[in-house]
Amino acid sequence: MDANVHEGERLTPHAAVAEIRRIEGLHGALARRASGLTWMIWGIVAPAIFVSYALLGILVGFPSDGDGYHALRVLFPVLWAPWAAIGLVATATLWRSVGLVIPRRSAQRWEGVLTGAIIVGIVFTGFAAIAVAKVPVAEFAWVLMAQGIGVVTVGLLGLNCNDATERRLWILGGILLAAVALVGSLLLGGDILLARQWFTLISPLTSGLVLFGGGLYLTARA
Amino acid sequence: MALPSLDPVIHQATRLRIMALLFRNRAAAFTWARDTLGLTDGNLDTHSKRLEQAGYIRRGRVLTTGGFQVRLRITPEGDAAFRAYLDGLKAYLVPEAADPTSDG
Repeated sequence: MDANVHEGERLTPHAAVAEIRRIEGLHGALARRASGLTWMIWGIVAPAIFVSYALLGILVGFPSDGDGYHALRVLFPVLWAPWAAIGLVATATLWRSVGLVIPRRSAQRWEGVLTGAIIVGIVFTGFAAIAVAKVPVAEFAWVLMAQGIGVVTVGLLGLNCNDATERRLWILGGILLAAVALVGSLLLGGDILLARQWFTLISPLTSGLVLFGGGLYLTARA
Repeated sequence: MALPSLDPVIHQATRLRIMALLFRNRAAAFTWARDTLGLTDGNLDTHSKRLEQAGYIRRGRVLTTGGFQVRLRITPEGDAAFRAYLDGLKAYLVPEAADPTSDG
């Protein structure tokens, strides 16, 4: 790495600032690009989860002799897990590769786990509340809303944010997800069946566009 | 108004770069810091010892899959000192931004 000021030279305040900026720039671009790729990974995983549940819903609804397809209901609580695992492995592999150049603090690794825990926790807490209250809800609409709330929470807590722009993206992206869920639900006028049908399309598309698009924006900025 | 004096421990070309790197990363392997900053082993060793004597960083040996590795880690005192150093730098830069005729 070429330095602005060499050993023995008088270090002026301006030169000191230039040196600090250059050190910061060494890995800033790489970290931002890796963050963008992380967003893009989850921009594929999240819609895949929605689509899997949509397919499972179709399968379970097929008429069958005996209890054949209905037995597949047991998959509902866990169908998200393999996709989440794929996303986690891909994310971890990406950041391990980045770590060859930029050593990362262990706290930053835990931030990724905490992010997932927050989002998944909000989703399941909501489902539990819905089950207790016995309120008719379009499940995909709730998951999209919960995803939005989770993403906003992560942004407000400043987790997984390399800079202010990324933090704003977390917050705005989360607001967008939640807003689509809310507006879509209001427009569908409380018709649960219609809402379930439409959100089968709205949720994966919105989730994919926001997350993948947000990631593309971050990588382009890097 | 008198300009603040800059911490002489940090305000040196090589030590400033080491502190800037550790301020950002919190910890770094000796070899990685050496290669990233373009220093020699001796150079990094000398200046990191000076920073350690000032209590700004800690040097330790960590067992890794590749054997023992020297790691440098910024201390809370070092973090505070570097933040104070950055604040001090602002005082040097802001008056010149306001008065472009001043000598640098």
